[in-house]
Amino acid sequence: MTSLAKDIAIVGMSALYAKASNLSTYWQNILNKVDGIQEAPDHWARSYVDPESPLSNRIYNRKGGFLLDLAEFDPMEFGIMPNSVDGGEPEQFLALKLARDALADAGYLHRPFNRKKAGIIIGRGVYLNRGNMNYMQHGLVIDQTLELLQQICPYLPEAIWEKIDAGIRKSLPPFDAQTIAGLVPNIMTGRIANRLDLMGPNYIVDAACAASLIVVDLAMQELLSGRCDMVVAGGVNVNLTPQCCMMFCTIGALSHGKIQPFGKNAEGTLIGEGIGMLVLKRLADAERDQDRIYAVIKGVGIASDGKSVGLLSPRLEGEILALERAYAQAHVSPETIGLIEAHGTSIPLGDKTEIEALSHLFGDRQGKLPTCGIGAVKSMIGHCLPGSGMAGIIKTALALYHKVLPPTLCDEVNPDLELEQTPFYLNSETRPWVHGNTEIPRRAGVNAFGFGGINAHAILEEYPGERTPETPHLYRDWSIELFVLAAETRSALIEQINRLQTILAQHPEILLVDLASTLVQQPLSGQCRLAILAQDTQDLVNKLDTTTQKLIDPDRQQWQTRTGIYYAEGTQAGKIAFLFSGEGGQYPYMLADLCLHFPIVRQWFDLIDEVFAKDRDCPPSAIAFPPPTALTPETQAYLKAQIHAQGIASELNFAAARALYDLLREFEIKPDLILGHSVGETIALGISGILPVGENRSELVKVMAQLNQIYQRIEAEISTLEGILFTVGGVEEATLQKLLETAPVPVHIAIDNCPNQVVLFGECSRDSPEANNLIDHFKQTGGICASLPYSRANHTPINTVVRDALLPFYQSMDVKPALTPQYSCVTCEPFPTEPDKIRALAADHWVSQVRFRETITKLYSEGVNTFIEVGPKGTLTGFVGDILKGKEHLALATDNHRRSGLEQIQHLLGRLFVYQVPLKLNKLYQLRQPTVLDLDKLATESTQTQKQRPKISLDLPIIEIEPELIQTIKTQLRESIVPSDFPSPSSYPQTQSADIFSPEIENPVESYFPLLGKIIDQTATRLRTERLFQIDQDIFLKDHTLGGQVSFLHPQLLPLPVIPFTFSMEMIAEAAVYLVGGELGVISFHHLRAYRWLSLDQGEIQLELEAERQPSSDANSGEVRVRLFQIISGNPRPLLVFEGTVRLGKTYPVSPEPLPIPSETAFMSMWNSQNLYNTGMFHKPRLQGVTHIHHWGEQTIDADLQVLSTQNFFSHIPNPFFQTDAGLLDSVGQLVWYWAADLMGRCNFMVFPYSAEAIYLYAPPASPGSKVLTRGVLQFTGDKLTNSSFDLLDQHGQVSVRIEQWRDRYFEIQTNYYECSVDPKIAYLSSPWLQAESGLFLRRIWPFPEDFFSSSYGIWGRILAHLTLSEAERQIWHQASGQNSQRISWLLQQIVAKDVVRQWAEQVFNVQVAPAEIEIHTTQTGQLYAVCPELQAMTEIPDIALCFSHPHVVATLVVPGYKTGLHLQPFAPIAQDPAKWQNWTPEEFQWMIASGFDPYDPETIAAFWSAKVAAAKALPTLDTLPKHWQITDYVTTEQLVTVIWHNYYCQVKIWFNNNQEVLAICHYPR
Amino acid sequence: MSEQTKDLLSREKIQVKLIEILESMTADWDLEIEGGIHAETRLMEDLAFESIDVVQLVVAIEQRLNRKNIPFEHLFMEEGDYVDDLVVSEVVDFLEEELRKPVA
Repeated sequence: MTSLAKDIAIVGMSALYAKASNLSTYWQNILNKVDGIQEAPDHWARSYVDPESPLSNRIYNRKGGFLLDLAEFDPMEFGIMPNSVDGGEPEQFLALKLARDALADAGYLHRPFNRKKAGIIIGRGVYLNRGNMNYMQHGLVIDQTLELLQQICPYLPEAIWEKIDAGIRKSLPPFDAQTIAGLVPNIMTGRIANRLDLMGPNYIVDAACAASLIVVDLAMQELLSGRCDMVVAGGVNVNLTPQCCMMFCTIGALSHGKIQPFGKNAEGTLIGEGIGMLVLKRLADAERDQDRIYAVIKGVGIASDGKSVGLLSPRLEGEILALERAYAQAHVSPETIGLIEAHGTSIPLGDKTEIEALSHLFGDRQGKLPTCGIGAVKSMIGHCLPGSGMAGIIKTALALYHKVLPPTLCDEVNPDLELEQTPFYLNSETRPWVHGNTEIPRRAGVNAFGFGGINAHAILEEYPGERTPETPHLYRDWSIELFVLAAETRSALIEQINRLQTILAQHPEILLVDLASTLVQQPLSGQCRLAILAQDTQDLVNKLDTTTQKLIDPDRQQWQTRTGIYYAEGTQAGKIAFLFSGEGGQYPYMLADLCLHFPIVRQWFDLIDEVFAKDRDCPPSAIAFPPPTALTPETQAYLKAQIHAQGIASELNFAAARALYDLLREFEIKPDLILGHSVGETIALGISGILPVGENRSELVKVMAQLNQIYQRIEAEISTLEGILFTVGGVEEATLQKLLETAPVPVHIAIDNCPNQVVLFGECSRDSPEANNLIDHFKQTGGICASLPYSRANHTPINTVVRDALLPFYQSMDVKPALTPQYSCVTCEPFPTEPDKIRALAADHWVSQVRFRETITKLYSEGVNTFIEVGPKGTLTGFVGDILKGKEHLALATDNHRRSGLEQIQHLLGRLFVYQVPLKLNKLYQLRQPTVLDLDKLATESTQTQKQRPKISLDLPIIEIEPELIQTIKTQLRESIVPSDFPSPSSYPQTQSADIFSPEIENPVESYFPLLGKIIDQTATRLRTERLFQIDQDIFLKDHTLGGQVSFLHPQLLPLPVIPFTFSMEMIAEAAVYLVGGELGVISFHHLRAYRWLSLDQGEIQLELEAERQPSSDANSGEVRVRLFQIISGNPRPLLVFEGTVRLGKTYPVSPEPLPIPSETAFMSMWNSQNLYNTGMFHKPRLQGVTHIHHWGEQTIDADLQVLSTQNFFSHIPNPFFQTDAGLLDSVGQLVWYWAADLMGRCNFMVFPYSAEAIYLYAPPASPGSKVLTRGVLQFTGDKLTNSSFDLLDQHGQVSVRIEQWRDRYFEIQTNYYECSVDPKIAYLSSPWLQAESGLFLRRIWPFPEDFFSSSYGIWGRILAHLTLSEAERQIWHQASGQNSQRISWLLQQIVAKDVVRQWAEQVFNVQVAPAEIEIHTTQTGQLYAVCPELQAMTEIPDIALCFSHPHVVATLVVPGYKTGLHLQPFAPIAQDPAKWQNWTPEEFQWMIASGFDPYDPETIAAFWSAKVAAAKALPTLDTLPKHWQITDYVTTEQLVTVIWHNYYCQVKIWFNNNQEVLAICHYPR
Repeated sequence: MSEQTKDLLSREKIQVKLIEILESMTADWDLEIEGGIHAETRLMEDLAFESIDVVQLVVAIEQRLNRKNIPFEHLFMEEGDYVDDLVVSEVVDFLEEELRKPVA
């Protein structure tokens, strides 16, 4: 075998397919026959799935090979801005990850290679995906939908349409500058070349389902032409959308049920998502570079269908041509192919055509058995369309690498394919790939055929360069693992068990292979020994528990469980005998799984194929591991018989015994002596050293061939000696003797196995009546007889032909005394040492009874108590048990036909270990490359909560509108069409005026005057009181705070509480009633004026009240003027904050006629009853009086209000009595906001009352819960003012309250501020800025209008502080002295710093943190860092770099491992006074002139200055100012400024923004 | 003898004795069969019986029941080979049937 110059090596691979997140899992899943097909989740299926529908936009099956949660992508890992990912094509990002993984698998992630000659080519189809769908939704569908809707209902106001538009867009991923790159199809490879720094070609290829193989062909050409030295070749399909399934359903190509390539029930395909990548190099280069080579690609044949019947149906001629070209180009004969990875879509016509095409090239079946396995991984992962060929190549390369024939899922092969006529069989089982041809390596072919008539076939070959068994295996997670522990004492062992239990409890994610292999490396000495076999962590935990319980009983010094726990204390095995069984133990699929995991086992089967295949109908391995399908019943019978046939039986037995012996040697288990049972003696002769062929493979091959020839030569002679062989059991010795003597035909005891079984040879032919009579003869005393499938007279005196034929053979051999003592079952003694005696005894055993029972008894008497059977099945082990029944001994089998070989060998090892037989267990783990664990560390530390790995959504973005908005639109639509049912004023009945309710003052004054406070001074006409409002006692104020909930975690953090206007009114009403007293009650207010926000910044506010009774002529009325003052500590004079006049009377005036209402068009409000306070006003339940807005017009609003309970307004007053209905009146005020919001169609403003001319009460306050109809007439009286009047109508339609000239001030607020006030936990005040360009979590707070924070007594800053600051930060805020602007600067810096941390937490960990839950601190050196216990429990928070260039605030996270400095420099101040900024050093100045930079240009100055500041900020501990740094270079194309100071050398990246400012960022490695 | 035979015909007693035999045969195996050996326990699958164990069982049953020449091959053999598996109740059925037959 010589590798051709055009051979290409696969040196690295990566895989992501259904249920397989990596290459290793992919391979393991294939071998474990994992079905990756799943039902799509509901959010995918939506309403598309309808099996009965004839429509082309419905699908009838929701199954597929979905990636679901396996679509993990962490943009930060690749230096990609998180916000540029969603909205782009998701496959671009997953492809990048897989390309990286493939390069890592090849070992080149950090190893240098020629990047200039490394390319990336990917096969993919540009189908509908999340990215392009999002772009269509934004760019087309939304407008189209709105236009249609506007045509249908033209009467909805413009504001509503804007809302719908915004609502829809909000539900989609972004479509902006950051996402555009992710929408350009070829950027899939462009991005990979960019991120992995590959400078060879990068492009994508679309050839439908053949794309991946075309990619491989192109990659080969790139390599063979010398243009590339390395190519990453990929195949991608990550868009299993319902729409993709619609296409397949429409042409009936999608399966209604399963996907079953070549299956009887195949009726269509299922789509799969997946990506696979190869790293390819020229074979010679790969060998030179000592790369790990998975397989060699010999060539790819490509052909189109030409003029076929249809563009979507296969054409036989096209497929044949591709196959022919492949074999011709690669100079490979199809007969040498052992495995075909078929295209196998499970579409019947396609499968049939494919078999026809293959048969055309491979010809008819030669001989009885098929020779080439066929299958398709599509049966497990679905059809990955353009990526499917890559899934096939990867599977095939792994098959060649591990020398395993991988299975295909298939319930029953389609008989119509008539595979029995072809060389093919569908390989439905995991089988060792036994191969005896040393000239030609294992070979395989891969098909991929695409729509549009494009066909490709690739030929792959095993890389034979190294046949060492050290090649690492990807199948790492065995179905069972062995765990061993040893200690000097039981208590020490229990301690170890406890430690393991701790580790398993704290680290449930530990891989068992890692743990098992780590235990083997512990010091394993001591008298107390434990071995446990466990299938999974839970099994291990349970078995450790069981062990602990059993260890309590001190008398049980050795025990075992059948499930695999072995324990022994101080018991040392005696001498060890290896027992080699003769033929009879071989059975189909023996050792099959050991072949997969231990190359040394499989190699023995390779060897017997090499020696014997050429003389036979089929190789011995085909009988040992028969093809699972495509066998006629006759062939099946033939195979069943052949396994016991002369020659084959002993060859298979020999191979199995030698393989198991080698395996025991791998574990360094050595016998003290050996014994052969029956024909097993010949095997034993080779091992004891008597026949000196043990280690020499070619000598062995020669001897085996020689023996084979002898047998063939004497075959005819032996056949005349044939008789029947049968076992007899359950007959006592004396009875047996009697039966032997009285037998109807001559009978010999050929083998004396054990007390309960002998093997008899009867001299009569099988199936003759004599034979039946003979067996019945032995059954008559109740014996259990079983006939054996052999007929030779071995071990009987009549078998002289064989002895005579073999004697010359032994005589020709150079026999030697045994190196390991070997006993003979002929003599029950060790073999003699003289060569001639050895030869004679070896020959004699063919004519002598096998005295196994006596020999074992003898061995036992000589101190042998451990018997290990080396051979398949383990029959001898049972015999030994029977012979030594009741005596202390160990009889162990290396193989057990009822168990998997892998499991049995581990049971054996476990038992030997506990009986202190010296052995080495590391071979169990070696090929699987386990990770060594630090058990001490694991026992003391628990695994941190697993970080949730960022996922990428593959779903198509569906446009949605929030339910609240839908409800608003619905209501509005209805109202626009249906006229209002609100009663007209004239329909209200009139009634009598009501009496003033004047309560008897018996209870404490406080209950009757809850807001009045402490009386300081009182005369007949004057009253002075003091009232301290405290949030903890005046708890109604908790429900009148400016903004939404600040934090879930810290509910005590409230937004800023403010005393409502109407509660100030109640205060003055209480003062008036208290002062005047008697029977008079409040009937009206006049000239109410509010001057200040009565806010409780630190939870309290101190007010003082002064009331003065006005001169009155009438005892039945009164008038009191009241003023409220705020007492501010440190302020010498109280501050007038509210004033008004209260009139009192004995009875309420008669209700007037309701106000006349302007006639105008009425609209339904955008608020329904449920969302009035969710999306509208900030009031919380105690003050939510508005229950329903009937409608609004340009000047009116009609609403239902409810009377609010005052029961829980105070914590210290259980049943307060109010003079007025303050809560209800506050709700009336809220209507001004609702009206304005409906009128303007937006919410980003606030209104607050500042005066009212008159408020008349016509009835006492109604009981809580009463409904009050309220009608307002409102108008804007300027930009910032409104003037309103209201009537409140009771249930009878009578006016109970009238409000005249209620005036509000209107405040416009920025959207970001508004959003923060509505939901401060979620919203961001800052905006992402330059994130894609910088690759950083960079955010900026854009300047607020100049006087925003200074207006309204600084209320906006105070509100904002309460929305965003933690408890501790609030203290800093309140205690800060100095100018308001400095406090605001500090506040905005805190917020922007919090925001970058919040964005990072949200994108990387999917955790939402409120600003108030993060604290920003500063170290002494000025470094900002965040404190947030909730985040820090998961991870470390990076530091923050920040820049405040008034009025701009910018911040970013510091890149781990760097110090980061940030500076934003507007041009404007420089342009105003350039000279002030030009502090260049002479060197700099000269350099600037020489480099063509204008040192007087404001932009240049800004750029260089900001670079210096950024550098100085990055290295703040140095004793340097920005001006000490010197500019030495500026690469304009990269926008990189180099600045230096002493030995510090910084590269500063700058960005110009809008010709107005420049941002500089300096990263300096720590 | 006839009294004893009659007594043995009770199905429950046969099962109790059979289970006792199986338990003593497998005493040191730590079988971990839920609820111990019972009517539905499988000899090969659950008790890991090999062919030689079957012969041992036959011998043990004959000794315990003090009966010889019970044609166990009808139970354990099928076309000259051991059956795939048997559950305890099948062995009990067989014994109940055989013990009803008069002693030869």
